[in-house]
Amino acid sequence: MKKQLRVFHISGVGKMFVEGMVEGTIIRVTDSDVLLATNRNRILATNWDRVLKEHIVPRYVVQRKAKPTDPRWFADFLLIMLLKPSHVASAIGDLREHFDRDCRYLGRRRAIWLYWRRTFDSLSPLLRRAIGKALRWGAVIAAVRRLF
Amino acid sequence: MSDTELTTLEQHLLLAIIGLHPNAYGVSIQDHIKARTGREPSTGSIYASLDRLEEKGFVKSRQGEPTAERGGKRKLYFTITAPGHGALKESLQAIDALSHGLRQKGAAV
Repeated sequence: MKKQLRVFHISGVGKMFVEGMVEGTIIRVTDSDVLLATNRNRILATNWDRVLKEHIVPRYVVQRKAKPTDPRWFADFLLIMLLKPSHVASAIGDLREHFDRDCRYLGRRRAIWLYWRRTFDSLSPLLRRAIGKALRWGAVIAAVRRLF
Repeated sequence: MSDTELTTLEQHLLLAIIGLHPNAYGVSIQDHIKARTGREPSTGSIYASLDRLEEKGFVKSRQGEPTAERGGKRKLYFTITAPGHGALKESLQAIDALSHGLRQKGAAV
């Protein structure tokens, strides 16, 4: 059986994709109220009147749409280019830990913004370090060339 | 800058690593420094400085456990070495000596 997602169009919130089987997702619907909460227990909609329409789509449709909004892959790429190999996993893990914390307390949208800010704040010191290392190696190579 | 001299951030990092021992890793170091100085160093500046300190032999690292909240990425715990302790002590003594000189002149430090 193909996995399906329930799509709620909620006024003031937009589209909400809810998969009943996702761990930690709470969906409670009564005659007058709908409660959708993510696994962070952040309540997204509590009033049934705000649900404009509802339909079901195959899961892959949502997965394809959701990918470009993921902030991580390009940020990871930038850090991988500049960090020392043994520090890459740890630094990316640190940013994810911040992201997870921010999602819980500030919401996903602000967490994404902060994730990017943290990544860009990280680039200039790493770039300076990388350029410094390259110049040092350049100086060593130039000195060796002068000797031989 | 000579090999034993430390920048302000390096001093902060070494002090945080000592204060958090044995749980000093990126996020805990950042939180520790932010709580005490009011300024949050970026992840990049922390790792660039730790890289420099590792090169000088002032800190060493060991891998920790991966956790779900970190997207399955492992933590990297840092500990200070004996030369690191020595460099930090020297650096703090230099600041102390300089500020002592100012205090003798009656400057508010």
